[in-house]
Amino acid sequence: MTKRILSTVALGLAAVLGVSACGTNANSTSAAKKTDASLTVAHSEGGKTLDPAEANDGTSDTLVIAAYDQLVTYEKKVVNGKPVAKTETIVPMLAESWKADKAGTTYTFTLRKDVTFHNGKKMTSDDVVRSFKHIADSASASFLYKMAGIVSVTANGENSVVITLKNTNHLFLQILPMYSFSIIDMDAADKAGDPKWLAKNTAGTGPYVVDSWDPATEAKLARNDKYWGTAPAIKTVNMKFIGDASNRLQLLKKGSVDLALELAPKDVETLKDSSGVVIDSRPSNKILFFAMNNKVPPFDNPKVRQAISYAIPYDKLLTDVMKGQATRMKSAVASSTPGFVTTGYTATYDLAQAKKLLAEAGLATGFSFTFTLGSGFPDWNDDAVLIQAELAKIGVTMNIQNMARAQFLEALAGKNVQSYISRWTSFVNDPGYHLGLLLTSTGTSNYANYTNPQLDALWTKAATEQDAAARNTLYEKAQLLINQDSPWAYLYEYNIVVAQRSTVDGYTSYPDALIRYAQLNKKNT
Amino acid sequence: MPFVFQRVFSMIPTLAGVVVGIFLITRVLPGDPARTLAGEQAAPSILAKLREHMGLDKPLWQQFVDYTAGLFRGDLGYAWHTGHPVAEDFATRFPATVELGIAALFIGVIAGIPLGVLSAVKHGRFIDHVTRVISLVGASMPLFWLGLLVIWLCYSQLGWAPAPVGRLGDDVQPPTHITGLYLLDSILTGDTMALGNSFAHLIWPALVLSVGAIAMISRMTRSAMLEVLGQDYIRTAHAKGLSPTTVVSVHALKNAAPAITTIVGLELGQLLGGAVITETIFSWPGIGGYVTKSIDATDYAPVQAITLLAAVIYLVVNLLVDLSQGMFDPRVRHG
Amino acid sequence: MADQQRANPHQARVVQADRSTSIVTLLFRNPSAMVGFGFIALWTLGGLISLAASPYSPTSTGVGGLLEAPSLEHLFGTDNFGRDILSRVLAGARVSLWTGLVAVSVSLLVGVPIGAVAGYVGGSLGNALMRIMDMLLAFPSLLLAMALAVALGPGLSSAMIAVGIVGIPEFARIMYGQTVSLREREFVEASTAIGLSNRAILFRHILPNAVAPIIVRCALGMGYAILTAAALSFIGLGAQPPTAEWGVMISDGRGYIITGEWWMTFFPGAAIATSILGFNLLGDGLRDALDPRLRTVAHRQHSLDSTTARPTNPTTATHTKGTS
Repeated sequence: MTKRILSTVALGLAAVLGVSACGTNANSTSAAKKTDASLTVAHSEGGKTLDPAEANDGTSDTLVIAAYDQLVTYEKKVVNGKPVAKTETIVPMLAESWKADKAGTTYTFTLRKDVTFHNGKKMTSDDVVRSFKHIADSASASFLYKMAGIVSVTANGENSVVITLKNTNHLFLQILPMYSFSIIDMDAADKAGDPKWLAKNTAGTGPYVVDSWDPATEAKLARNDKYWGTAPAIKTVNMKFIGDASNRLQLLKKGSVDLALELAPKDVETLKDSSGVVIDSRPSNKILFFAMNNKVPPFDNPKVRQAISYAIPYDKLLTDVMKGQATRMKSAVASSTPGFVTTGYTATYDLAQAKKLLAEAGLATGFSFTFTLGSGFPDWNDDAVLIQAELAKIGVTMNIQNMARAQFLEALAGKNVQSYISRWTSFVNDPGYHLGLLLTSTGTSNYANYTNPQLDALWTKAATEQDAAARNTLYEKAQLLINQDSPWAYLYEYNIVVAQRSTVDGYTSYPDALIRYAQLNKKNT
Repeated sequence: MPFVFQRVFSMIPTLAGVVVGIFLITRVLPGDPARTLAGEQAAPSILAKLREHMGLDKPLWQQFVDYTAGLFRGDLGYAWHTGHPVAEDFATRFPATVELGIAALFIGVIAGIPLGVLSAVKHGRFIDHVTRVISLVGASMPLFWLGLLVIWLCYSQLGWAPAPVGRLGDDVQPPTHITGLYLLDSILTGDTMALGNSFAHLIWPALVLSVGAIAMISRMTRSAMLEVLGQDYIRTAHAKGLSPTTVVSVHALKNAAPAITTIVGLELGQLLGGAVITETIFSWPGIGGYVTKSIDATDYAPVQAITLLAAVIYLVVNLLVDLSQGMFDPRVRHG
Repeated sequence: MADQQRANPHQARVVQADRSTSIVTLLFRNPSAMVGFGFIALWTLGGLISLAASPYSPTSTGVGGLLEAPSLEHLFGTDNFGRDILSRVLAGARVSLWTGLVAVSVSLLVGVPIGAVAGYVGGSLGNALMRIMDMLLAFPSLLLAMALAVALGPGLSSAMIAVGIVGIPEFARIMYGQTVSLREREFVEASTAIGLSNRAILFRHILPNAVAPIIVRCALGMGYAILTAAALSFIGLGAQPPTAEWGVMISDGRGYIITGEWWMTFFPGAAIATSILGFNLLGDGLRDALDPRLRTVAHRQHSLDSTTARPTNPTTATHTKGTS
């Protein structure tokens, strides 16, 4: 239903501009005005590749999204005075309009005629077809391609592309705006003759051109002055790659960088008092959970899992570890995901209740288990230490086992890890995507072995349900089941924290947590 | 000359052993490079594709053959975690490590040798004891701790040091690339701004890294000097009425030179090891941080390449030290 | 190249001499060795006493406020979980000393037999064994320790064994050098002439004579092992939380340096430095005591060969193996 309504909406260029400008901020005029300003940003890592179909780390993705455009993109809305992506609504980008057939399996996209790649070549349907082929053949994004259910992509004249799907699939239009589905000038890549050329070069239509990129130190972006859409306000962007969070903090404090990402929560606290710095901290759909292997005793008993969930010092985790840069997680899906409900979730920090549940499970004297801790995230380490201390109070011994990231991921894949903490961000902000990967019995990331046939049935039914409201009802039932079974103890939902000099604004948050430089602007410079 | 050939030739089995050894060690490491690259959300189909793409689906012997064949072609492989060929990553990072290592060695020499000479000349006296203790303290310092203390004191508290991030401040452009050593390049191109700035960034990690070298060099110098000072000809020189300064600087130091050269050479290899930790702490964009990241990501090619590089450096330094000793002391050849 | 080790003319004389003089007496006359011994005793006692009477539990969170500066209540301050740092540093002493002991034992128990066999049997077996040792030395030692620690699986015991393995070639070389030089000496030749078995010669003559340099190496090896294990823990490959281990404590405190909470890093670091210094001073003093003629030999905890005052061939005689 929504699909069809959406697909009949063909927004013109003016409308898109209007929408994005309103969404940006109150000073919408400044966002659209080109300036000579340059922006310096401190990232934590240098990125691995510029290939849109292979990128899967924050810095690579950010570079891709600056240099490339997609067929369609997310609408924006304002929440608490701040612009955020409105993922339920998809708006035109390189495609100026699209239509779906009645069955919802054939989509016809009409392309803009005024778009050129950075090298001056005009973008046509041929480029779209070949870009999709590149995505289908990629190692990384082919997975999304499959999830979107795409069967074929064909050109229908120079300015129109027809995409057919296996079934009706509500995820299709949700996936298209992702950076992985960027439109690439495949001629440029083919001319270079090197299959890895796209990993180090860009051939897009996007608002910025990547001038230089050295993953060890920095990248420089220059404004694409012939950009087909709203010209970015910032002329040049310098991305600095600084591994140490406290160093990023220092540079921001001194004003050497305009924006710093991935600061430690305790540092964010100290920044609140420093002048000239603005903290933009807002909820995201990035969650952290404490998973207990449902197939490994004693966690095969739901009572034991529930007991653990009553012994976790939730408030302490939020205040002592995350310093307020996180909120309680209260369902298996993030609170910002459509269809989120907390029904069936009752856990609070209550040691007496935990003890009672343990006794009911026949483990009144406690037990001991192995907890695998992946390295690289200081908050996980701190959470583990605090949880360990609480569990000790109910007679449960939690033996922490440290693992380097690579070993940790390998261990999880074996599905034998007894318990662990892991984070998750669903880039497609949809409960079907989220639950399908994490909690259905066939979910590829269901490392805790949670199996509930009822949940599987609900999920399968929802996947082909076209009506959004009916779908959400099914997902609500699914959450109730999970919340009662407690395969995980829910820890928290991270805030996305962007610390910026007060001269910078325009930041809009997206489910992928990436910064779109083209939306930023800088005052008084 | 045959001696040189023999020595070079004898390095081959050792190097071959290192190549095989590190290949096996990386393969034994738990952790799948494809999974690490793909991240926690990766589906099995992606992993299979990635493994194929990375050549990990081939049998082990095939991977080894490919790897060694690559080595003979001068191909060090591909670093998946940076998305660049290892050789390219080396080209951008190695100069930074070399600059840091040379600076630390330089500090080690100019501080270590005078300390050692002083200690030997004042043998058994108070100053000797002080120097010996200082060098032992230096040798006992955990670099990761010392580095953090320097950052705390000189940067956070006193503000003497620039932010411990990289080789240059943000507002300074790197000097025109000639050698890749910023200090040298900025002198060559007359770039005073880059010179001052890169010096300010270099000096702190170099000082931290040099502490071990100072300790080692001063102790070696002391012992070499003591041995020489005990020789008959030195007593003769004293007896002839030569000034103590002349005796020490002209006669003794000259004769102690081979031993001191040895230790300075060996110290170079040592510094490269210490650079791993120092670079991590000072966010220095060299090989050290690259090693840690490569191991974290179980990225085979760079780990193998770095190990091989370190082994080659170790063997070549030893060879050069041997050869220089041969020059100073012909007896060694017959040893 | 391995057979270029030259016999040390002082060796036999020296070793003969210390049979008659007690090592302990000689040590007592050496002030720096006593200072070293003092540091080691301090940490050993501290570690042991804290078993019975620790100010607080080293792993209990919230015994004080979070990140309290050193005060009378918490002499070394508290960490980000409100744990008492003094209690943790004392508990860490046990971990570090134990790590050192295990690692050095591994190096000793594997390295000495390899060196003895290679030196005594000689020939192609001896050559092959020492070649393997050469190869191990050619690996960058911190990298090797990191790789081994990862390969052996998470945990402190993996780190101990990894550090022990990295130390093997040093012991093998010392023993090899000793055996080669002693094998040629008159009393061994005489024993062979009397018809003593190889085993008896190794155990009765060669091993006792090689004890002195090995003891020195053990003392210095302890320092090296503590340092390397702490470095491994610092990068997350050693002790598991909430174990109070010095390297882990420094790593935990690292993020707090710039915001001014120096005590989280300072005290465990000072503990590492003083305990390593202790072993270095003791090793230095032991060498002086065991061999006065060679007291000036340069060394550092991880780079020495105790048999030669001046390395004639550095590849065989001296090797610098660096870590952190």
